[in-house]
This record gives sequence, structure tokens and C-alpha cells, in this order.
Amino acid sequence: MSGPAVFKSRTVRTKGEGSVGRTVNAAGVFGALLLMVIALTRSDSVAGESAAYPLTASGLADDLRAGTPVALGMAACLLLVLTPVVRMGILAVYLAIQRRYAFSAAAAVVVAILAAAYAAG
Amino acid sequence: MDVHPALLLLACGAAAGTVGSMLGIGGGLIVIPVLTNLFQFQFDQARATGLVVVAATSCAVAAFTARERAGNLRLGILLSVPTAAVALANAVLFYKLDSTILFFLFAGILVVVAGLMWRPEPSESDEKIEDAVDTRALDGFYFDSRLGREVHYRVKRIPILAGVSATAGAVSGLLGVGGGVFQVPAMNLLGRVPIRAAAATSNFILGVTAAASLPKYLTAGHLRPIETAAIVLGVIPGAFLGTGIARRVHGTLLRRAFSGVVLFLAYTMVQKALT
Repeated sequence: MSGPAVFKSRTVRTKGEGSVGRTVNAAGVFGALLLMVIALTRSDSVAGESAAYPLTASGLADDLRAGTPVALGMAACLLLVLTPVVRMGILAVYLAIQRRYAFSAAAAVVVAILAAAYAAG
Repeated sequence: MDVHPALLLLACGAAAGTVGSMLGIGGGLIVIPVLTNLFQFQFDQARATGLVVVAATSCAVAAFTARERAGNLRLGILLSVPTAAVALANAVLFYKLDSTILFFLFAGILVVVAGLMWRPEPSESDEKIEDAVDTRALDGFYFDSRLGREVHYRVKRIPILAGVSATAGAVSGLLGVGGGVFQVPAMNLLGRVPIRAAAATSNFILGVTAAASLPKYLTAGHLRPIETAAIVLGVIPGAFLGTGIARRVHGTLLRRAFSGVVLFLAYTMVQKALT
């Protein structure tokens, strides 16, 4: 017999984990979509406009102050990509509060790995 | 803004969001060939956009399935550790091997996976009902709207799943495909996680993988933000549609759709190996 086993007992997962993820996602996705819509409406052409944009923090800040569509689009993409990382960080804190220390530590390790990736990049 | 290419990019994003969210494979598999063939993107540019699409799908699936709690967050966190670590290490071990051999090797593995996934998802009457005295931290449940009740399951073979996750992270970096094609079958066939929960959990992990893989593309200037924005605006409604379909269809249909996508990927790998 194969397939998932179904248990009658109550699982130990708390409902709060899903709520934490939902709140962070809603904020991240809404903010990113808003920036993307602004970027697209300010852009004259979609195909071929943003051929190369080597990302630097200072360059992005300057371009965002100028309100260029490419910078707005880049900021939106960054916000979207970093949303799962922020979600993981908040889950680490939430699980620590729930005394699920092993999972909290695992989430914190993932966030540290991702922070190292961005610091190196 | 030109309407025609924008609409094409939106449609591409919607297709990627639908398939990616439904099957837990992110969506890069659809976006990359469209961008390289129709929009003259270089492969690295398409891959960068694919990673943002994966992150968008991950966020959307998390939002759309939060109420029914389809994704197993604890399992996702646990499997994210080896995946992210290997993504950061940039798959050093695999880069030392001949990529042609790897393409053939993984194409072969995918054909086997497709065969295994073609088998029907066990119906509820076939499933082993147990009175679990002890509850384990990785046990999961989700609300199945088709059955009208919560489905509880126990995750098995966790060390093997962690190994597959590490491999998926490496393969993702080397071959430019989402690790979901390995994560979902591993969770479903080895870990005994129902296909819907496996797909949602895989999307959670893929969001982290995408975030770990993207920095090198950003600093190299490979991401084209305007086109990516147009695609992502299609991904979100696509993901809404995909999670809705996954909620309503039987697990067997999801498994077989996954099987078809995996076979297509195996075919493209053989093509790459021969050219």
C-alpha cells in the first residue's frame, strides 16, 4: 500500500504560522505590483528598454530619486524577491516565541545564508 | 508603452503563474524559452527574469493558499537549509563534471520520475488511517475543499528529502531549471506528502532558492526590469487561477500533468546535450 498516511490525531502545527506568511506576502506583493504598474505606465517601450542595469545601492537610490521607470521596476523586483526572505525571518522570530527552537534556528540559518549571498553580491 | 509586447509578456507570465503554482515548479520552465525565442533575451537575462517569476509565484501561492494552509511551512523551512546552502556554494561539485553527461543523467532520472508520477494518487479509501498517539513536528494538514474536510499526513524519509533538496539546488544552478521538478516528486513519492501540499511547500522553498540565486545576476546587470514587471503582472492572476485549479481537481490529474511537464523537460535536456 502506498500513498500519504492520514492521521486522525491533531497535528502540532499552529495556525499562526500561516497568518504570519499571509501578512508579509500581502504587503510585499502589493508594494511590488504598485511599483511595477507605475514603472510600466512611465515606460515608453517594453521590449528592449532595459537591456542592462548593473545593480548598485547608490546607483539605484539616485535613479529612484529621479523616478526612472527602470529603477522603479528594479526596486519592485527586489521587493518581490526579498519578500520570501523577510517572511522567513519573521517566521524564525515567531517560531522562537512558540518555543519551536529547532525550526526557528533552521529559518535563521536560511536568512543568514541569503544575507551572505546578498552581501557577497 | 507598446501594447502588443506588453500583452504577450503578461500572457507568458499568466501561463507561468498558472502552471508553476499548480504543480509547484515555479514557472521559469515556461518563461525562459519564451523570452529567449520571442524577445531575443540572452540566456542569463531570461534566467534572471525566471528567478523573479519564481519568487512572484512563491509569494502568490503563499497568499492564496494561506487560508487552507496547503503548504507545510516547517517542512519548507527544514528543506530550505540544504537548498539555500548549495545554491550559495554554487554547485561546486557539479561544475567539475561534464555537463553533457549530467544532461543525459538527469533526463534519465526525469523519465523515471515521470513514470512514477503517472501512477494515480491513492484515493482516501486506499490511504492508511492511523491513530497517531504521538504527533511529530513535521506532521502537516490542509483543508481539502474537494473532500470538504482537513487532510492530515505524516512526512517520512526526511534525511532523503534533505539530500534531494540539496541536489535540486545544485541542479537548478547548473541546468537553469527550477528545483521543483525534483522537490515535488521527492516529497510526494518518498515523503508521502499529498501532491497539493507538496506543490505548495515546493513553491515556498523555490522562493528562497530564487532569492539566493539572484544577486549574481543583479550585479552583472542581467535583469531587465521593465519586461520582468510586465511578466510578473501576469504571474499573480495566473497563480490565482493555478491554485484554484489545484484546489478543485483530483490529485491523480495533478500528478499526470506534472508527469507531462517533466517529460517535456527531459526532452529539452536531451536536445541541449546533443547540440
